[in-house]
Amino acid sequence: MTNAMTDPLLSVRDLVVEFPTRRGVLRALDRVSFDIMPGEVLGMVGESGAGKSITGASIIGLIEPPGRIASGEIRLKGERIDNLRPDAMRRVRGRRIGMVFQDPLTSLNPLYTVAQQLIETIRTHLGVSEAEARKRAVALLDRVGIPAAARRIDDYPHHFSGGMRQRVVIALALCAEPELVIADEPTTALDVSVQSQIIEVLKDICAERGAAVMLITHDMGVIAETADRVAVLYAGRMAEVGPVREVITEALHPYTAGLMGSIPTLTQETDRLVQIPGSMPRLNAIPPGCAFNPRCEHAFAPCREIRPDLMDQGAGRQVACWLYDPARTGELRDA
Amino acid sequence: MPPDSQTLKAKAPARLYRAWDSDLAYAFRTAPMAIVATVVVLIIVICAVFAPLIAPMNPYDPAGLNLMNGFTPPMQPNAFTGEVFLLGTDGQGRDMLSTIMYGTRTSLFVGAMAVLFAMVLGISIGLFAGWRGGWVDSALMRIADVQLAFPAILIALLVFGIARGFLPDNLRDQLAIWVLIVAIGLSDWVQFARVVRGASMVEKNKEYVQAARVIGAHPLKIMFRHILPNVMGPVLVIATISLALAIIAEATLSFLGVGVPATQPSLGTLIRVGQGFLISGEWWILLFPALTLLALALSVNLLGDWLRDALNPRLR
Amino acid sequence: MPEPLLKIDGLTRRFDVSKPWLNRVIERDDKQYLTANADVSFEIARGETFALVGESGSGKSTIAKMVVGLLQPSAGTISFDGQRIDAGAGIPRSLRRRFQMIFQDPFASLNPRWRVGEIISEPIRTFGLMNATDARAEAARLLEVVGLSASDVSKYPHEFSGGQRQRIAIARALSSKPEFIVCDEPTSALDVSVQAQILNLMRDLQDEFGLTYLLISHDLSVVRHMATRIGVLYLGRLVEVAQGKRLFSDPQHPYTRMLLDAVPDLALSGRRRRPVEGEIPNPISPPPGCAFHPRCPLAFDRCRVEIPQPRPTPVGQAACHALEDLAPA
Repeated sequence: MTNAMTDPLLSVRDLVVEFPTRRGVLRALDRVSFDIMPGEVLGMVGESGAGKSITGASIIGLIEPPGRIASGEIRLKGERIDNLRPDAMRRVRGRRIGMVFQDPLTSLNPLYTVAQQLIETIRTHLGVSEAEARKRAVALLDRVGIPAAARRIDDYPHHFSGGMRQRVVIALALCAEPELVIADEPTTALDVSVQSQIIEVLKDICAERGAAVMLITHDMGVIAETADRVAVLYAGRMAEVGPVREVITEALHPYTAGLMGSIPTLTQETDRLVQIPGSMPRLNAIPPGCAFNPRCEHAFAPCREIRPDLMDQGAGRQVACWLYDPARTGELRDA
Repeated sequence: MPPDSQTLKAKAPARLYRAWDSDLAYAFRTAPMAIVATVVVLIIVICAVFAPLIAPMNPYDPAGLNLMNGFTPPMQPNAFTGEVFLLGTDGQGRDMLSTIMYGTRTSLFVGAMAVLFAMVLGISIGLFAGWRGGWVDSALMRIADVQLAFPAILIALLVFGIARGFLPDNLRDQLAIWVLIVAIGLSDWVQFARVVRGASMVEKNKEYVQAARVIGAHPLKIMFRHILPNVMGPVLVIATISLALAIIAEATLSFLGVGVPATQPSLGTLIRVGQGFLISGEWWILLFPALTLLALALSVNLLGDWLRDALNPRLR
Repeated sequence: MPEPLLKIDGLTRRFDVSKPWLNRVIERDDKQYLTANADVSFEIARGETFALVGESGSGKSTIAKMVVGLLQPSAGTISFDGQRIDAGAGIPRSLRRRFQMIFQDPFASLNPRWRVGEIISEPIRTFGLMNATDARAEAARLLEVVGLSASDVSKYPHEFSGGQRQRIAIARALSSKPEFIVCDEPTSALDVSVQAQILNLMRDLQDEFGLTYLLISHDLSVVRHMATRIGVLYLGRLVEVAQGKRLFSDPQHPYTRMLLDAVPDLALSGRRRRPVEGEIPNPISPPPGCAFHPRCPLAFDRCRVEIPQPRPTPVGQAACHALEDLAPA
């Protein structure tokens, strides 16, 4: 018997995404697994090339050919969505999963008014009348903080400023009342003062509607303020997952720890930033064993040979690192 | 089975391997049309360039001519002399294969030089207009626009006519080829200028140009050493297609009788001459030069098309 | 008091953003001007790192370009080591040699058709400091200094990652042995872990070669880590200047406080954040008086009418009418 409260909303298991190139097959994602609970905000963090955007794209079915999902499962409320036919996926997209992209300038069609875009989406997925759709659209715009929504709804996207446009995009993502919103770098193109406003809006409106959020970003600060749990990606693999506070203050995986130390904050007193030697390997040159091992100061024998999978550490934390292998309790471990 | 990249690296010099393995070379290797077009062009060009060495005879050496060989059909022994000519002979006993080789030589020379002239002129004007911007750019581009309103052939005729009017008689024939080259080149520089101007305006704002300006590099140096290498991609594509057009333009002008002098016939001249014999049944005098022109222009055109698509940034 | 290395006084830059002449005649539009910078004044002492921080429309990049001579100021002066350098093309080579610039985009700041060795040695050759062979050897040596390998000299930029390209750009900036480097958002396009490497490298180079930096950034955390003094820009005007970390512990200007409030708190200290009001106004038609007054919690009548002038504060200076009562005697 299933319990709707504790079953995950989104469940990704062993997802593999490949890109065939003339020099061989590149694995952009290599057996990534995670869950998103209803209503929670999961942060997906990683640097360029780690695969966080690809994860979002594969969930919503927007991977550019020749890239494809090679294996693995993506389940939304228990039903598989990774192997749907295009028309079935189109029904899922928008209605059950909404998406917020990075650049508000290009994610809104410049030739249509905001009203037209909102109303079209609402009517496509919810099948209500034009008048009812317009009423909902205005209410939604008002809720995301657009002043004089009833009048501004008939403006074109270029009449709005960057921050306002991103609010419109959020409204568009939520207008069909999805259960999950995937936000891919929603604040990266905005000024700092506007970023905080947009994050507030996103958080509040999703919490209000019980929509879960997958927040993809490279900005740990945004994750710290917004997410409930965070997943750290490295070279197409999951390095660590756990509650946000724990992962940030006490990172387990050496990569996460290095990442945290390399971010300058407004309050630190150290004079030198932590520097992880080397750089993330290219997808066609991932070392055997743990992808991070050449750069890791704690690497030991198994790291160079066997790839670690995510291992449970209790309290909702998982980490893919041999240092935390529960079977090796006698091995040398660093705190 | 393609050679393993490791062994290839060990054998060939590094640069050659890099060139072979580059995306452009790969696109070439896997495009049958490009390979065929290149082979055709190479054959024609080699025949034309080495014509004096490999042609069966020199068609313009009066001593070697035998009028009795005239009007021999291809591959059939001549009624009087018994000689066999691969592509037949023309009215004065000239071997068609040789005349076509020499004719192509002239055509290619004029075509290539005209494109070169157009490139130098167009690129310089384009770079300058793109760099200066403002009213200089506007003025130059308006001149270009005005010229585009006229068909290229008309412009070539105009230039040709003016030059003929100015040149003294005795130099006319000697300089005719150069006048022709300048005429065709002048009708063609605009597209180079426009492409280079647009591309250099884009490059001008990039930070590597700003870095050069910060250290006080001379504008000419920035234009030719920094910007030019980065705008050559589209220029090469246009150059190949221009070559085909220039060859055809020259053929047209020669056909009309205002092109190369009679002493240096080109494919266009041959076509004009051959046209007169079509009705009387000596079809080979027209057909083979025409086919050669067609093959040359088509192959160069196809190469240009392929190059444009291959150089286009695509999904990797 | 030693002479400052760079002195900016009353720097102003206006851009003509009017529509083309024909359009204006037909549509009866006036000429439109965008004031990117107005009346900016500050000094940079030898050996220090002065940061200019601000959001979009603040004019920080424009100031950087004016300092190195890429743009002409509309008004005001720029002096380098006591000599004026705002006179356009008239910057003498001997002065040009002493400053350099590092750009934001590592992918556009290196000529893709040049080899790395040529790129790095271009300043050396342009200033005529060495012959070609020595220049090439120097380029190889500089690559080692910035943490790459000398054999990279014959490679092309596309063979390197973003962080490595930025190192190449730093090597290029160092090749003419300048004293002063303008860094325009040097790490904004880089990943966080790569940023840490580059920032550490910049600090090490500063210590080793006694460099002075003008750092332009929108990232307050980076600025806090790197700068000895910080200037905050809003819509083209300098609203506050303060000593390094004191800007963060004791911000004076309401905009600075608002900006600090808006930065996400990685330390999860649970500090209360005031919601940020409004957005940056259109720079073509800024609000009258103090440009920040529509968003300012301390705004009063005078703010809507009169542009505030910089006044001394306990930590530096700030341009705010509301602070005048608090200024030390």
